[in-house]
Amino acid sequence: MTVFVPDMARLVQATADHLEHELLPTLEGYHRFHTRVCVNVLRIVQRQAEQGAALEAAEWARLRELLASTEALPALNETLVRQLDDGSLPLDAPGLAAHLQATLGDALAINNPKWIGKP
Amino acid sequence: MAAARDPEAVASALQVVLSRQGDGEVKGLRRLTGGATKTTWSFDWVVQGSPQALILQQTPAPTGPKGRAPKLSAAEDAAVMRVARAGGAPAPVVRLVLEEADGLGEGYVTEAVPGETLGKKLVRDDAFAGARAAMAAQCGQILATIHRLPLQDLGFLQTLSPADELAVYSDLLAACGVRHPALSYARRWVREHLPTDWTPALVHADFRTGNLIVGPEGVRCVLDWEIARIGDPMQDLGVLCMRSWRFGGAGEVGGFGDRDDLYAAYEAASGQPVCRARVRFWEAFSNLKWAIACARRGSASRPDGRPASVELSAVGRRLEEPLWDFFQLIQEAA
Repeated sequence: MTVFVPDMARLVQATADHLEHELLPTLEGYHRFHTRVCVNVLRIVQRQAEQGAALEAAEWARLRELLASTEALPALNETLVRQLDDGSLPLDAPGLAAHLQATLGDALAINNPKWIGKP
Repeated sequence: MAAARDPEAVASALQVVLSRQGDGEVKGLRRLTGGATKTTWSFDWVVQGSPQALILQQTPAPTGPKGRAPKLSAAEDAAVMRVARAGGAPAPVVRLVLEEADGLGEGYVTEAVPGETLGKKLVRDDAFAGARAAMAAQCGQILATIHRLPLQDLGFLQTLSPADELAVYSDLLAACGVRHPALSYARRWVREHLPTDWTPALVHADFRTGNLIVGPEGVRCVLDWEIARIGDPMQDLGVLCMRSWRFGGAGEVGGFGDRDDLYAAYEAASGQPVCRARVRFWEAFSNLKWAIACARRGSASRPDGRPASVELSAVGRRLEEPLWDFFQLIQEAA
């Protein structure tokens, strides 16, 4: 793959830092609130750029075992949704709840690490 | 007629509307919040030199077909608040309900209640330490009052059984097209744990920190009655305990109080036992509902197909918070 300098995470980090440290202190009211939201969104993108691939690989590995299939990740998630919706997979299937919680925890590590007590 | 939205037009329309009830002058009109769903203004109605602080709420006219999700019109919302007030619950005092000829769209004028609504301040600031000590019991008493309000003048309210609630929110999820294994798991769990033994009552359904006006002595007013319905009263206790509405506060009740205080006050005021398992069920189910709301916001589009506002898009990334809490709750209950 093309060598991007800086990589996506650092490019987004630089942008978020500028908005947070240079622009935000000059704003109030409506624009301050929405710029704060933009900074928070860019921090999410930064963490996803840094950790997303590894977390997806772990999710895919768990799903391949849970569903005994080697399909791609989106297809396995679709299968899981269908089997939960049509009742064919029992809620107490071994590893099911643990997989879903691990996946939620990984998503929170990107979207809001504080929710699960991470810095 | 298009509803007035800019301050000068709103002020002059308000002047005409309020003058029908007597002489006075609209002064100091100020837009408080422009939510996606409604616009709130504060102003003084000055009568013979003495100002009365009032609130104008404009709700946009409903667009699209009326879904099954309960969303009251402004007139219905005001009717619920009047019944609540008459029955001893601290709802806003409704001064008037807007009519179409008023040129302000749907909405109503209520008396302003001074105090704080911001969750982060209520659960942390020293100024509200006394309030926090009292509020769990106050909420128990207020909810008991709401749950015994007479329903005969509120025939427009929908009755939603726990199964109806699941169907309504499942339809909302399907309509936004988000497919997510943890959402599917949570819907299955709720379907397999629906309470069968419940007594219908008026349910506020959004009774939580953020929708309460609080002073140093505690709760002064309960806001946001527009999704009230008839259902299982234990729902209101579950919503109040959701972690999403604790704003980082330690208390399991709204970030400010203890469950035992809430339950004891509710039982004393209502004469009815609190079913703790059912409160936990509704707390879990309410987390699912909030997760579905996040999915809807996060997948919302503008008419031209671009994503909705950055604010709504960002709420979409909060989807996992209530689902994480959902799993914690059902494991505690197991």
